[in-house]
Amino acid sequence: MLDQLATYRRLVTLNDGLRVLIRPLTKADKEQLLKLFTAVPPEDVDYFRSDASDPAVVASWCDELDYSKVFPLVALVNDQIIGDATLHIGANYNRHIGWVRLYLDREYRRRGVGGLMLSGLIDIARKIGLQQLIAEVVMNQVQVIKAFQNLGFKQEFAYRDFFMTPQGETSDVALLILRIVENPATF
Amino acid sequence: MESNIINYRKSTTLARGLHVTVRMLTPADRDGLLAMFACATKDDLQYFRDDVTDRALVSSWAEHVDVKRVVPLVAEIGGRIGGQATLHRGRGYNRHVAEVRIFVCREFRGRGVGTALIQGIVDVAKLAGLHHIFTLTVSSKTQDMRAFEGLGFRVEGSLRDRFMDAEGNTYDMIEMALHLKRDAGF
Repeated sequence: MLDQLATYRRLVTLNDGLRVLIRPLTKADKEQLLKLFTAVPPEDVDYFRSDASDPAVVASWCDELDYSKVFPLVALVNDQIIGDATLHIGANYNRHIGWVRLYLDREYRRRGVGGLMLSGLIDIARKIGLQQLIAEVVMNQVQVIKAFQNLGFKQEFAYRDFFMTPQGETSDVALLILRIVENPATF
Repeated sequence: MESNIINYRKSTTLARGLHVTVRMLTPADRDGLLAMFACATKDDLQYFRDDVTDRALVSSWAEHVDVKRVVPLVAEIGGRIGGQATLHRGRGYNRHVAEVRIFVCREFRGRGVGTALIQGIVDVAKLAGLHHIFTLTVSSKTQDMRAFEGLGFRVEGSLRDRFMDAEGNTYDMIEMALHLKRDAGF
């Protein structure tokens, strides 16, 4: 199954003429991925949980690839990685759930690339047999929440004061859930 | 502050004279920790997120304690480890929050050991300056919820079908949180 998923590829021309290739991240992408994450502007760094500004951390994502735990898709424009979307697969009692995270270079936002990448992860999640996909989005990111809702995610919960800025201000984090299997207990 | 956390130790005598010391896990506890998880039944094993039957994994927890990532407290009872509570610290925008997980061997349940462990976690969370801590528990585990409520945790909400048992049935989980810093207000 994972061998098949490793060959996932979509080449799409968006409405504005942008040609984007979506495929899984490989070890050979390390340099490109580092280039994407070292260019993250400071205002975006606040929204990361892992230390993506540390080159050693980003390098480990390529060196320690394990599609059974984290399935990463990258978006390429003219052979440059402009986006990274990851499916983090739960274990044991969470084995039916995947968490999705997405980062796009600013120049390529609001153009349909994020939706393409997330649709890819939804396809992958269905093939793996996951029942739910979860996205955790800070409440003030209204456009991001709307984009997830347009893909069928629904806000089911909010983690109170889960997000803190470098200055120490807190805000809630919305839990957006896509139920791939709506009623697991059926005849 | 980190040295206060690493050196955390609290001894209590519970009902019926049960003497418990809640303290940090150390590399010397490796065999004791393995023995503790060996007492987990097939039913218990469903409630872990990690594979606690993997001896290499469990050994690594004792050998590589990093309180900046996970604070592991054990309940030492009569020279044995009877239970463990872990505080999983957030990073980046979550650095002010941590999740509590707990396991107590069946022979020591219902005697206050879990409560002593959770109290230890609360003490450590305050030492670390955390904003709040939370736990996720299956909605049917009312005894666990009462132990957390007794220490001030409050139900924040329900996560539908978050838990899957060994047979593939799903159940809701309840999020309970303890806010350690006062909310801003008038």
